[in-house]
Amino acid sequence: MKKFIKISNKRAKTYLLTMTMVLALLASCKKNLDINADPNNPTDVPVSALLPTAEVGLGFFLGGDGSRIPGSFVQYYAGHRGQPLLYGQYNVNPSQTDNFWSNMYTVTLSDLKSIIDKSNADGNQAYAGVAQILTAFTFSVLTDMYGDIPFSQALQNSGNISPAYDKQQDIYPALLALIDQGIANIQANGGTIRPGSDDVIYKGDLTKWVKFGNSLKLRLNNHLSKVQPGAAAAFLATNPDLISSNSETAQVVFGTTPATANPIYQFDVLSGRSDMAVSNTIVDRMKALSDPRIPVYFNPVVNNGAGLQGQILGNVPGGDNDDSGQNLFSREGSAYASINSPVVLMSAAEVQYIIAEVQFRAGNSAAASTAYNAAIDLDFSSLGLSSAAYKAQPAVAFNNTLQQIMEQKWITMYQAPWEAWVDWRRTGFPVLVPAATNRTGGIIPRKLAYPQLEVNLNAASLQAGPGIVPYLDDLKRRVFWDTP
Amino acid sequence: MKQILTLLLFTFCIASSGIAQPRTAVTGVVTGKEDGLPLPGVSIIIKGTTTGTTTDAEGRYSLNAPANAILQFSFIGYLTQELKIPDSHVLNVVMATDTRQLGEVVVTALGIRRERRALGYSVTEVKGDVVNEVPNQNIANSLNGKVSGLQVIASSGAPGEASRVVVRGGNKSLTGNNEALWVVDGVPISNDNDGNGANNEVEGVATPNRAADINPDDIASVTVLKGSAASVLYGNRGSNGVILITTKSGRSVDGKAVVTFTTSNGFDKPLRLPSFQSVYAQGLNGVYSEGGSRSYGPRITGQTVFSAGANANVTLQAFNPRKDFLRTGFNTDNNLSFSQGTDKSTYFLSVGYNRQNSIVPNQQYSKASLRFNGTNQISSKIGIGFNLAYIRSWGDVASGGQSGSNPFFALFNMPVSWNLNNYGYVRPDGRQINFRGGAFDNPLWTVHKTFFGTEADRILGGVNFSYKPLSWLDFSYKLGNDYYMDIRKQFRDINTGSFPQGSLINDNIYRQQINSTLLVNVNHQLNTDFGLEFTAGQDYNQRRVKQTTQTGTALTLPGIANMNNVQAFNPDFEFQSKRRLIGIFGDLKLNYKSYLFLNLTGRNEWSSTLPQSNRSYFYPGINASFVFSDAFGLTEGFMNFGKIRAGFAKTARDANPYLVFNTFVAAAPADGFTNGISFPFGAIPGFTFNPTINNANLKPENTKEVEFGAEFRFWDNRIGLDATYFHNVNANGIVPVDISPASGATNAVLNAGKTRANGIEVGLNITPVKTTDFRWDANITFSRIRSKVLETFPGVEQIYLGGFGGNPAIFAVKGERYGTIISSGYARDEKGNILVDDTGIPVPVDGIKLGHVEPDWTGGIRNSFNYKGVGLDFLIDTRQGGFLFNGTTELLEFYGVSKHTLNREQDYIFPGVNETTGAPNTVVVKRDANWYSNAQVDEAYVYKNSWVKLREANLNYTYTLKANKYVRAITLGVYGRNLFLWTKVPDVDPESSSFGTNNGQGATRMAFPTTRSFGLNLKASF
Repeated sequence: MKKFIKISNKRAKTYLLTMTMVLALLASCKKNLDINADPNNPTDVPVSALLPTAEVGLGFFLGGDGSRIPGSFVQYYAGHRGQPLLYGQYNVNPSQTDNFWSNMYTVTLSDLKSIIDKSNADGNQAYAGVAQILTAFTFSVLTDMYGDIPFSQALQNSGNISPAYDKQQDIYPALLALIDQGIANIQANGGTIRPGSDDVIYKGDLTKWVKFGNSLKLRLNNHLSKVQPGAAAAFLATNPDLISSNSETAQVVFGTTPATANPIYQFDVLSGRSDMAVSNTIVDRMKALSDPRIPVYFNPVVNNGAGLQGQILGNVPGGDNDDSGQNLFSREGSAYASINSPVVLMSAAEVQYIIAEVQFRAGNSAAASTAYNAAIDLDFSSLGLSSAAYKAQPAVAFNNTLQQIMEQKWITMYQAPWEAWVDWRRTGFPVLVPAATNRTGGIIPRKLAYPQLEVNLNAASLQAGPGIVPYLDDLKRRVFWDTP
Repeated sequence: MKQILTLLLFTFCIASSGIAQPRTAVTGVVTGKEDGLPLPGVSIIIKGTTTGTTTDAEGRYSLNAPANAILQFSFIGYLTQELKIPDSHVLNVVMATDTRQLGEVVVTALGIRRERRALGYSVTEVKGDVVNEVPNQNIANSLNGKVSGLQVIASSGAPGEASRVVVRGGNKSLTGNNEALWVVDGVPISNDNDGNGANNEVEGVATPNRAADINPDDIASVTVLKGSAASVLYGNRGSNGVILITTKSGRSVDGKAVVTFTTSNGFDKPLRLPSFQSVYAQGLNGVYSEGGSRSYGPRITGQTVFSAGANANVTLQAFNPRKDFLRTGFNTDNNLSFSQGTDKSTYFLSVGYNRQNSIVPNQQYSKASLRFNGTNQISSKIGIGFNLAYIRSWGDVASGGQSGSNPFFALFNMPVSWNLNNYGYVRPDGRQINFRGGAFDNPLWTVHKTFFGTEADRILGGVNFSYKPLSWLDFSYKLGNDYYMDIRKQFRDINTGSFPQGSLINDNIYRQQINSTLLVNVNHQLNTDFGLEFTAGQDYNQRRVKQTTQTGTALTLPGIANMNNVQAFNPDFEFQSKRRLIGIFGDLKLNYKSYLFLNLTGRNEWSSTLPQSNRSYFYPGINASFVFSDAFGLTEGFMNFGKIRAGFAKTARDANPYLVFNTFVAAAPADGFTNGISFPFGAIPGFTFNPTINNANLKPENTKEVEFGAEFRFWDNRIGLDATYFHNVNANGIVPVDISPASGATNAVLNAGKTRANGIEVGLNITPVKTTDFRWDANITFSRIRSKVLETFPGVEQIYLGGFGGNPAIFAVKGERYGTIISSGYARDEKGNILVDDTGIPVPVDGIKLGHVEPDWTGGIRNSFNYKGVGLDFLIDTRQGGFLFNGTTELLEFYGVSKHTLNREQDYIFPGVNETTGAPNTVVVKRDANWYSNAQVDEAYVYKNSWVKLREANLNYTYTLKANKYVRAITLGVYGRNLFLWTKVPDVDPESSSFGTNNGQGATRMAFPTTRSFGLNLKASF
């Protein structure tokens, strides 16, 4: 028993000692634990490092899914296999727009919000204004595609992980107001730093930003042609300073390396997919007009497997004619699908087409004609082509019909398919024959189905807002401005 | 104070040997006869007294005794020996097991060897010879079916490919790592798998799990600690179970060194290939055409067509492109080892070389390893030991999944009309010849014009010191380092499908891990009835990762895989991470009369990856064991051993590094189809707000687990049963929860989710026949696990685990078992009828739950027969239940190459009702290309994942040459692995997984087929 006590004394000492040692070690180690600051990624960056991401991202996303899907509806593209074929058959399931939706919100809009927040805090109004105009632009594309979307509660990060859906009729006025705010900020131009070379769209030319803002207002007012017919004309009557020359076109010009390449070029060439066969609808329409834009719009058939090498040919919309070997159909051409082609957000030509439409609707056929001809001229000159012979054709010479204006605009808007889809939904022009093989009972989609991500992750908000319906039905629903 | 200083000195192992004593000092090492491993805890008593000591963790002891004393060596389960002290005063003892008793000793946490009977939790030990019965390049695969509760999933048959190893279902963490911790000779090692994990689900590469670097032939034993109770001392890293590998140590036979040479050489064939049709040619709508990917062309009747591939008119005929392309794989495994043990020191030296040539041409994976283990007794009180291994692993490994370089993608959908051997794969101008366009290359192009090379150099080393100043007290310290550098090069030549301009990626991955463990052991037999053992310790772990990637996006000249040949680059990528974990722990063991045991453990941990306020956390454990057969004197009857046990433990897990502070990341907008943009954009830099929102209030994840078990031995140990029931609840998961992107981010790191699992594990060992010459042993394992996701996160019903961006994907769904396949399914009416549209095609719906992934039960039977020198072993294992998405079958039908599409010309009415009228569908269709384009939903390709496999078989003959001085014994054998598969799943081995080793299991699509191997092995000891 005596021995036991002795041992336990020793043990106690040992224990005490060990503990002391361990505690001493720990005290010195505490500091060693403060190593959790990420060495790979900064915790803050200047706004000049965010604006390029927002702009290039926007161009990339719009030139990617943002063009491929609507472009298949308005029959610029037909696809031949894979997803592009499914788009051509109107089988755009909710997962297929997950990336687009996610990118638009979490890259472009999220970074624009960071710019606005930082610039407001620092008083740098030019950055805030540019970001506000781009925010309005981005949201407008999203709402035109999907209808009701998260807007007022969006972009709050963990502050609200289930943002509610706003109605499109509420979003539109808010976007117009946001553009006004942006223009006002740019014009006030307070603060110490301003966009420069980091502004990929206008290189910091604030006058052009104001013009883009006004042009965007014109476009959005014109989108309301079915529900507020006078809105665009009323805005135009205020004589806004608009994009009027090709040098003022809002566009993201891509680079000459694979890492900076144009999105269509990446899809058609760099990815090796070559899935985006063009549609015979636009090819044949342009052939009928001997359109000089054909060589820059489309590439000839590459291989000779079917004896068609060198021809410009489109697939039947939705036609299941696998052309992985590039023996049958053309792909998009150099104008918008070269490695460094621009993705056009809004062109001078588009502005003139809008003016032509607004003036036509107002009964001012002379003004409409002027704008119509200016639109064609601007478009051709932007492509380095001469429009004189083209315009001289009877089928092209202005005939004072909405159909002609919209059909010509449709050919030009090959540069921005998402906008052509808006035009088709508003005006019904060009008249399109639905794809023979389709999944929507012959109805060309009038909106995109809500992404699977939203169905999975924001179901309650979606249900409380526009509701969740099977996607093939969702594609047939109409957005607010698209009344039957 | 002096004592404090002294002890401090002891701790750092600088102390010299102890204080002078009047009597003779005896020292020695006690080892087990069967495996030559040191035996700790052996009781040594001077006969006729109560004075004595016990051996330390390395089996060493020292004792002061009268020179003429007799020492009694006793240890439960071993035959007691009484020995005189020799003149040398060094007494090494080899103890033989007492076959009458079951006193198995197993390696437990921190390398402490304990009697199995004392354990209050489930532990399974597999001896090295059982592990290596059939050679396997990856040690993980050798554990399949041998341990109840352990699941090994080999993703494919590609040489080098990783396997996923999980214990008790692997569902403790929702999205974190659920794989077991690997510990080699007391040093935790990296089992990382760069390239085959969660971030590369769609385009993985068959890179190994790094535990596969271990040379299986060096392994003496593998112990699997299954539950939290067993692994609590490993802290958060052991919460998924621990696989403890003990490598061989030095031993002598008849005082002489032992030299062993083994060689195994075998052939590999695909275990199972899909069933292909050989009737229809490439094309669409019955018309022959090349360039497309589908085989809905004309019937092959010997007609003449123009072939772009041949660039000539050809006569259509059915070839066998699968046979044309695949070859017989070859594997060879060679090992030479030297080992010796003397009074003071032991060593084990081995060299090994292993190579596996793939069934795909030009691909292979090799390993060479060198190991040196040694121990030395510096003085009666101080011992040192070290383990050092250098391993080089290299190979050209396969790409998988949706990668255009997955050789099986284009091979499996290759039309039977394509003459692979004759058409070639490259035109004179360098362009690729392929039956199809797009991203998926001609497999010959893949293996000749592209490669993914990996060269990893690894050093695993550990040193240990032990100091035993008093008979009841010892200190030990272990420092381990695991370092490797994996140098990878991925090349795709110009004109590769998805890289028309070529691509070259140099990717260097460096990982290093330091582990330091200090232990203080107090061991005291209080009196004849009560014994006490207490271990206190401190450990420190640091893990570092550095990765640099250089990506060339356009090559200048074809065929040159060097960065000097690149004309356009992506911005370089660099990643670094460092994490530290500090723990202190205590482990108190009490025993009463060696039949009642109680074990209390506690551990506090500090992690660098958690916010300061939450980074310290404590967890306790308790377990008890009662050998009632001894207590009640039941050892002589039909039942000769009986024990019940119970344990409870809590464990916690920290986060990955850098999840606390929000960051901006270099922008790289992409759309899922292309590589997208990498900033800087020209000269313009671009950052974006990190789409994963981090969390400044992160807390550790935790697991609470309770387990009960019983062990019985009957009929003189000829029947042994070990059964365990466990129940765990896992809460506070650190999850990058997917959130609505409209929030501005895609993920938020949250403490979310709660899961539970319970299960039964049974191990049954039977010796049905045992005569002098003949013996038959059967080992049966069985596991049944039921998990349930109790909570996800408010507003988020399902958490993404892995899969294709859209369909299909694996989720943790609230209310379901862990791992649910979600994808497209059929739209149904209220009565369950499938809705069909007016064209006769079923209406699809997205986001449907298609079944759980978790098996209902798994099991294995290993039989071994021994007759004189002849041994026959075979292992059958099975998995029953759970579901698998079989995308291979789906794609083979889509492409029109599978046998199932032979009915394409027959009329067909899909069984369903019209979506608008509700009347039975009457639209007659043909199941042609258009049908498969539109009517395929993933629901139709989800199968019950049940199978039975003859996993291993081995027939060998051992010839013992007594007369010959130089060769002691020769064993010759034939072996086979993955010999047979029985399953109802079509076309694939349902074990294959397309999403690598991450948590998103349950889907296979164009995965590398598993292989069947046959071979010969030879073992000679000198």
